Amino acid sequence: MKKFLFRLRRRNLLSYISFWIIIFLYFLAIFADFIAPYPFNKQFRDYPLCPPTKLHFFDANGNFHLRPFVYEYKLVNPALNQYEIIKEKICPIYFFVKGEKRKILALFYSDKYLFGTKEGKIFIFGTDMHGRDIFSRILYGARISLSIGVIGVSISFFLGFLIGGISGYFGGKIDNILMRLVEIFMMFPSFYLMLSLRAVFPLNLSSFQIYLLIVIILSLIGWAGLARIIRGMVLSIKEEEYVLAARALGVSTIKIIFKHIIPNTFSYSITAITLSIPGYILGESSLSLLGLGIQEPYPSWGNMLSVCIGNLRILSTAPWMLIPGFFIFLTIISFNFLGDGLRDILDPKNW
Amino acid sequence: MKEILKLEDISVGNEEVKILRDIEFEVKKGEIISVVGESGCGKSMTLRTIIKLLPKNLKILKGRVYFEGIDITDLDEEKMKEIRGGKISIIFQEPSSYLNPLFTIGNQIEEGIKDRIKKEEKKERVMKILKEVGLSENVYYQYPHQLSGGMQQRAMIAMSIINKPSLLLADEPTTSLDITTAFEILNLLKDLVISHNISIIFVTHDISLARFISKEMIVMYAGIIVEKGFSNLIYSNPLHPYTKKLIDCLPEKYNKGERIRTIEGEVISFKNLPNGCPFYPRCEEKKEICEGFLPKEIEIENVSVRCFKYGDFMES
Amino acid sequence: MEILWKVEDLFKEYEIKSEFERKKITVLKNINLEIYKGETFGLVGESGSGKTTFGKILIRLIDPDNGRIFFKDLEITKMPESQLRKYRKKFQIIFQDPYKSLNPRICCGYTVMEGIDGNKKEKIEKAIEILNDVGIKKERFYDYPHQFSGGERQRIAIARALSTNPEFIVCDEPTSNLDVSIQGQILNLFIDLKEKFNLTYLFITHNLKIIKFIADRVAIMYKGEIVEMNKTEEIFKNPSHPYTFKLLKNEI
Repeated sequence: MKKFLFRLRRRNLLSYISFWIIIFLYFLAIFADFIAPYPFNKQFRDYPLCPPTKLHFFDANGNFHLRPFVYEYKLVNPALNQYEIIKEKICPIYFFVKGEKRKILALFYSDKYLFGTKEGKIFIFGTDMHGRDIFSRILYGARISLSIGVIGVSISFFLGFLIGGISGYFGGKIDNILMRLVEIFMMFPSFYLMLSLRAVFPLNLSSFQIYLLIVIILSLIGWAGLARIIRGMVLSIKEEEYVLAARALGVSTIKIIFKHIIPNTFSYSITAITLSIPGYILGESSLSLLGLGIQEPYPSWGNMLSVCIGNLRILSTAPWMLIPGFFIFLTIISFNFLGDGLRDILDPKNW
Repeated sequence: MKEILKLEDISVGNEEVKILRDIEFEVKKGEIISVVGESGCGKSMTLRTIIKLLPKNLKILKGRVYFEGIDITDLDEEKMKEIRGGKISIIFQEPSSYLNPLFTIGNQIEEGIKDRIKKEEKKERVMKILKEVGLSENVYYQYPHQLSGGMQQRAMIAMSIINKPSLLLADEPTTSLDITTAFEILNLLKDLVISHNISIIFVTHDISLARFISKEMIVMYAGIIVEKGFSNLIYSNPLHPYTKKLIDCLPEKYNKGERIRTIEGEVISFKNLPNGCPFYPRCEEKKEICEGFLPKEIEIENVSVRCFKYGDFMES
Repeated sequence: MEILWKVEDLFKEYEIKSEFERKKITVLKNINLEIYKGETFGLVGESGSGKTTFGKILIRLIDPDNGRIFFKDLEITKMPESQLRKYRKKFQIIFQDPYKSLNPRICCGYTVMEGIDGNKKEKIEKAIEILNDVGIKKERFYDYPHQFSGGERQRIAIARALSTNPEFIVCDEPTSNLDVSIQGQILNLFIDLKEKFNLTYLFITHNLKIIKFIADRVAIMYKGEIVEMNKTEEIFKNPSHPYTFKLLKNEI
């Protein structure tokens, strides 16, 4: 692992940074319960569409405070969601503050939060129209948005490698049948396939069931194109002389496939894997955007953005509602850079 | 006879490595000259220096290149483009990778014609050239994959002489072909020299091939010319220890059951060249002086050689 | 002399599909030959003559269309792969281009280990020993193919072929991609290994000089047929077929 990181850094600094960004995002997602200052469904009815609370070190009189603080916000015009900053009220930020009890990592209960204020509220990214903290919701939403990509990719790549590999290596009739199957899957426009698959299933499912459903739908869409490409690569690699030489040595078919053929598809497949993860995140977003994905109150980056659709007022008065979009962008671009770097360092020529 | 190309004291490299050192030779009009050496000895780099297509990190450190009496060392890229493919053309080892699989042979040869002439005239000229290199007129309409390796190489040759060049650079043009085909290609090149009055620099790693095709040869090792002169003289009586070894490891010199005497050690890498003679680490006739000094060229009976075995080495 | 290989009426054709028609191209036309144990059998022909196909069919990397192949009285023509795997260790192949015949993602030591039986420690020890036999130092065990020169790669390919203790090796133009100076070293290696391991070679090449140097008997192949087969000295002294004649005339 150390060697891997060293090589990544030397080869491609951008992808090295991306790697750490991704790790950081996953870290946030895993420890969301602990880091988020509020539960994802906690509504502060007095604070709808509250702008992000700024962190301060100097108060209105210019005095320096070692402990950063936020001012208290007060809704002055409920119709236009205008807030007034009460400069007299300083709310310092504390670590490990007490709050409501909740379960951490589904393992144990705790009433400690990583950071928060004793009085007043801290909304790093502001709140939505129900007064829920966007920062907390982004952290919880990351759990869904980030895991959906990884699980979806694993399933579709398993299918892609299996079907593409068998098809390419054995050829003949098997190849013919499997490739026609692939074509059937590729025939449907993927977005409508996604919609129709979703429509087949009942709407009143629990949120976990919906989550699983979306993963399966997305991976069922993703594998076909991949299988096709893996098949093509296997077809050409199995004719390489080193594969012939391995056959002449009496190496078993399974070993030839896993040691000689699959690793030589990595130059393509690793990049494809990392490049397709964003596709799943976006796929989930678009389902959620249309109200077919993760249901309120559960957050995902996609359904947090969906609120903004068709609501131009929000865009002008509460632009912080678009912050989940930034996270989607950051994740996608990091995965893309990481993919480039991985492809480079998996080639022994670059070691 | 007039010389067509002259290299004067050429050195190529950068701050760290020197790929070519003190390269000096001339090519006479209507003659073939061979450049012989193992892979990585700088023979292809010599060709690239002549047409000024050096890799980005290398440049000509010193020396001059004269082509038809004109100094082309500092010629700008625009004018070099005129010369490349025009007055100087080049053919490569692997014709299949230099022919575009999507166009017919006729199409590709026509494209190279630099004169502004009518389409019909172009076609006429291509047909004539195809005939000269021993291909049928049919080939004009064929695609590269329909031709055998030997025919592809003939097509490449046709392409390279379409503009009536005065110098043809041949970079191992027969290495990927089998002997019978190679033999025909070599004869074709020899005929071209006579019929078109062009000069050829023939690069190869096979010294017996060099003797077969050319009157003069140059033997290179690690970026320097170790021996230069008439092919037959060098082949029958090599002076430099390296040339001796090169001839000594040809299998036809041995009977069955014998062991081939090969060159011990490995080809030296350009990154750690010794101060002295680059062949010193593998040489069996080395002296103390070889380690510290690079010998100067010495002329012995029409053959010039760079080795301390000959002449009064105290000069250097 | 003990017969190691016996080939009867070997026939192979490929189908080529073009826009208009399906053409069948005959690669091998009723080949009959025997290879004796301990000899170096040379197979000469120009590219496209079917010599490489013959080498691959002989050790069943390609299936023939017709004919029979015997390895020491054992017919392997139609033997299923699972059964054949036991015998595969006895006959190996070395390809022309060492740049293509080594897996770029597997280091040289592991490439050689693949053909060896035993536990991991034994495998490594044996692989080091074989690599040493072909002149690759122990320190380079974990280097990847691209870190070696062409000649060294061919040595690794030879080591891989030797790793199964074979009796017979098909050498498919093993030196034609190498420099003349390296070619000599590799040819010497072939001779040394033959003595040390008591090997039999099928040496495929288009280079008559090498055949003259290394082969005991020679078959000349032309357009899928063996036009002449004889002892090496005989063929070089009095060639009988016009094609052989032409080959010898074109010597450089």
